Amino acid sequence: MKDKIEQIKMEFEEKIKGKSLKEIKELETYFIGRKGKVTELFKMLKTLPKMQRREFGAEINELKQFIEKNISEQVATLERKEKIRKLKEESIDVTLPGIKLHTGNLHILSQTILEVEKIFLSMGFDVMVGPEIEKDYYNFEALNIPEFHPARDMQDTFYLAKKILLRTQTSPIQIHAMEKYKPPIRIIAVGRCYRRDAVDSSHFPIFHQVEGLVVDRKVTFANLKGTLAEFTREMFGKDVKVRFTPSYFPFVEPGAETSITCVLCGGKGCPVCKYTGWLEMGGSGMVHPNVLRGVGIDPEVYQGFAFGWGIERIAMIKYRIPDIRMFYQNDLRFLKQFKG
Amino acid sequence: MLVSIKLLKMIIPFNYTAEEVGNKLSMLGLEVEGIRKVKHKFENIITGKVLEIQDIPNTKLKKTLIDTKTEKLQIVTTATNLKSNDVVPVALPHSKVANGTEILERDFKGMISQGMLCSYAEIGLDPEILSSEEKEGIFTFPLDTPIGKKVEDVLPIDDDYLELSLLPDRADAFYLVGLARWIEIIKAREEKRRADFAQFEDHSSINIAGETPIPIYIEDKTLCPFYSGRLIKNVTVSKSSLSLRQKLFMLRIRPINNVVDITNFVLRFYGQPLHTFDADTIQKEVIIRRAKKGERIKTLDEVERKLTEDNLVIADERGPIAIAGVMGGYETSVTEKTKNVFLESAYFSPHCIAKSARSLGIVTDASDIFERGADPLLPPKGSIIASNLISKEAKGIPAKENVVSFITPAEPVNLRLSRVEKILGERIDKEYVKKYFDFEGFDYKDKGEQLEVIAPSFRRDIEKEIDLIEEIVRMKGYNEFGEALIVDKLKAAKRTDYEDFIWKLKDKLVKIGLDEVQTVSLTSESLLNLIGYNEKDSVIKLLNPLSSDMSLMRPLLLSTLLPILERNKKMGNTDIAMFEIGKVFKKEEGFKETDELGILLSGKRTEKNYLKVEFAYSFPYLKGIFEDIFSFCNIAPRYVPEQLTWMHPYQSAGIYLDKERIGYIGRINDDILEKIGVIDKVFYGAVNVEKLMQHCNEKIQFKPFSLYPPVKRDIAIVVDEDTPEEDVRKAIISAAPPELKKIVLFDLYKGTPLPPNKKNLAYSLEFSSVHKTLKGEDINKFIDQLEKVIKEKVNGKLRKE
Ligand SMILES: [Zn+2]
Repeated sequence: MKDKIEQIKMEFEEKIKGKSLKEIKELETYFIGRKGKVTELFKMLKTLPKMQRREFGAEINELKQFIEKNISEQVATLERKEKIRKLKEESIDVTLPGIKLHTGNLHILSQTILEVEKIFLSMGFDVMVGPEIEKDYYNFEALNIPEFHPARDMQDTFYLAKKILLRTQTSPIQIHAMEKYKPPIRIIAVGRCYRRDAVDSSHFPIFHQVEGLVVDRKVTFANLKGTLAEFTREMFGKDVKVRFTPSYFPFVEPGAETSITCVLCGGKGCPVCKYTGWLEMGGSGMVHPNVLRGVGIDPEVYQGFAFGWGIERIAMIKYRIPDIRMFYQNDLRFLKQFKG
Repeated sequence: MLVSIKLLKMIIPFNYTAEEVGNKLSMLGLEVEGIRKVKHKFENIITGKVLEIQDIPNTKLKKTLIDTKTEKLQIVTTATNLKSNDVVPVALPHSKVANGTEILERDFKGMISQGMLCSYAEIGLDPEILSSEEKEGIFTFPLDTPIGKKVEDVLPIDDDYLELSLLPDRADAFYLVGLARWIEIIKAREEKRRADFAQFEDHSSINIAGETPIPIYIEDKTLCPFYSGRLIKNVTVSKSSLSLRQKLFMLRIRPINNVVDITNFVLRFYGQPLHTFDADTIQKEVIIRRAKKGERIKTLDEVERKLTEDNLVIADERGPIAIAGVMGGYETSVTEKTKNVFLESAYFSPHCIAKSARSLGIVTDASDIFERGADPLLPPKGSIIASNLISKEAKGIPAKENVVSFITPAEPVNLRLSRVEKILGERIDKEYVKKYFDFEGFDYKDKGEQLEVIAPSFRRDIEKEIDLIEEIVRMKGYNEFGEALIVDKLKAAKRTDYEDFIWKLKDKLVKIGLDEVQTVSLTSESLLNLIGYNEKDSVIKLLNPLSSDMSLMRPLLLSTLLPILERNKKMGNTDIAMFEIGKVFKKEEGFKETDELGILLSGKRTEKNYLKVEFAYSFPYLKGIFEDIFSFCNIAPRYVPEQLTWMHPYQSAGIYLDKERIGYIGRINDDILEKIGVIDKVFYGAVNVEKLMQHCNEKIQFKPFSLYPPVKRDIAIVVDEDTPEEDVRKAIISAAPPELKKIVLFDLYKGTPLPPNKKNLAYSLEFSSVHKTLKGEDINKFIDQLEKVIKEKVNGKLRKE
């Protein structure tokens, strides 16, 4: 009996080597199935004397457990291997390109406008709008530019009818704002403007401006400078400075042309800034008393400042866009560069 | 405006380079855009006098004998404009002309030419500033030009010019003396002293003989506060002398004749516009008055002009002889034959001249200065300067002038120091303020807390207190003021609701996967024709367009989106999903502008890929986008089939909110696309943005949803082919219990085994309840009823599955 047990064990050890899952299942039946060799041993046990029954019974049990353990281990190993093999079959080239849906972006002008609005909203400026078709009164007369004033030549105007025109600037919104609200007023307005300019890389008959207007009892020239300096730092970086040069816009006095440090050369001078180190951004100044008086605000009590900067100009400088026409050509290869 | 540094230095000495002057002027508000440096390019060309001219027989050539002071040269020329005694540029043998060509002694068939006589081009002069005579054939110098001199020493060619771009408030710098005064201000400011403008005054006296027999009458003293007329007898009208010609050259004035040259010179040098009449053509008297409607005048440029009451004229007994401050008349102008000159030196109202010049569409140097504000005290001096020059250059004898003057002394302007501080946000010490006014040569009286200021008469920009404050800033320096942020009560800053909505909408559209475009809001007749837009009467036209392709205000976004589509397709950007939110314009109760949203799709949503998965844009996809937006805006419009000229007749629909059409959606007509070279299908929809906004502010509030698993049921319905799907869907919903939460059309089929003219619609229905887990039986009752409803409402047959 002992030999038989030993022999079965050896046989099992011999047979289990290198078997597949299916073969192991067969081995299981062969050894410990209902008619298996070990099961047979149990049957033989009944024929043995009581004393030996006990002794061999334990040994056969041990053998059975040995076989079961080995089989289940082997099965687990093989199953693991099988799983790995299957996974491996599913292996892919992870360096293959991803597949994309086309996604959308805001036009770079919109992105720039959003950024401008965000900065001014954070400084407590409300955002207003105004019409693109304007009366002569709002675009010129109320801005201290009466009919036949030579300053009208500074802006070539598209007319739709007598005294009706396409606004040449966002400044008429100043007048709308002052007609609508009583001081304190602190607004910006962004909008599309039109000028009868011949087209080149920096001129286009259509462009956008951001207009600012603050009217209150104690709004000073220093506030104008502080506001534009703060905006410039936020928009272009903390090292970018604002420079004021005397200029003439009939609706402000003192009036200034405002420039910022050339961001391309850091102010050292380059072809873009014509070697001046400065880039012109637009006009600014203290609201002219005639303008305030015209909308029924007493210039002895209230005063304020105003400015008008070009949105395309801001975007061209910030994103180094070389030609204003690109904004309106809307080539997808242009638009998609500005993700946002 | 180009200003000669050489001439400037003749009246004010300074040690700055041209670039430095440019910068300093710019920082004071006189913008210098650049420096133009001019240097002569020829070599060894001198002045010579023509002694003899002889035709060479059987040729077009002429043989000349030229005196160059040191020698007499025989030079052959083809020119026909030469006379004996003309002084001309002579290129000596081994000289170079402006284009670099070397001139050598030459043999013309046995005739030796010892050099060459030069035209203006050969000495490289700018034709813009030459008389027509000087541009013809060989250039000729004034008769008093010395011979044997280098041409570059005779004509001040080598010079630096400031490219000045002056703003309308700087009438005081439109002429040389005016600009010199600003350089004096720069010097005074640097040297901390009072500006000395006296150095620019002309103090010469005048020798007069006799009276001016032409009386002067001014009808409206507000339009013409000063007029002086002076007779100058026995003038010889001819070419200007060399010394005047040199100044004209530096001032870039084109010479005409000595008398006219002098008036132009006084204008551009001293800033006084003048006019000279042939005195013998004036009938009896001179009246300064408004033109009468219907009056006409032929002006110097030989144009017959119709006048209106907007024009101020100088008239004699017969009628207008000049348009005051704008342009003289042709009939009374000074010519070679003129013997006696009537010299006008006047001051006209700026507004009056601006209106007059603009109503006629003429701009002249004179009108430029008058409309910006000339110096009202200058005319008497201008008359003397011009008279003396005419007597010197043209040998005329000036008479005593006739003057009518309504000029009153200038009122002082009060400056409150408290006001200065209030506007600038900085206290400026009174002594500093006085110093700043000294730099600019202003007179002032110290009245304690105020200064009474009188600016020089040429400073027409100083009228009010605020003008003086600007001068304080100008003199202290715009960048010498501190920066301060606004300090105020905190309040929430915001956009208008409408603007807020637009940004949200744009954000939504970008999230959907569309690119925003911004197109020009001007369109053209041909684009509208291409589309077949037929409401032409309501399109707004520009009265003065730049070009025909931007001559109309766009009445619909599509007209400006199509060129963008065309361009992108041509550039190989085949997949296009774009939107624009922009203004469209219409004549309607005046001029109306409204915002429109346009969405244009063409190509695929997916990039071409190795999985061969693709999603092509289509009508349903476009409709899905619009449905998304409508749901975002809390509206549920209807779609009604319609036919628009630019859309596919059977693939487009009007979008209706209640009874109002708010937009449309569909596929663009292939005929239009073909014309712009686009072969792909293009889907387009547009809606009025304001209509979208009406309900968008309804607050979103939480609605409970079921926490129990839903029950799903698929059904199929066979209906007539032309039954709108929407009717079927509505029929299902009408019969359904409130537990029906979702209905999805997942199949649409025509063909066998269905009978002809039938279609099969398959829906997936999803039911759920917030109260309990639904069971199949709960739904079965509904399905049973549905069979009847479908039969009744859409004549359909329910196929249970
Ligand atoms: Zn630069």
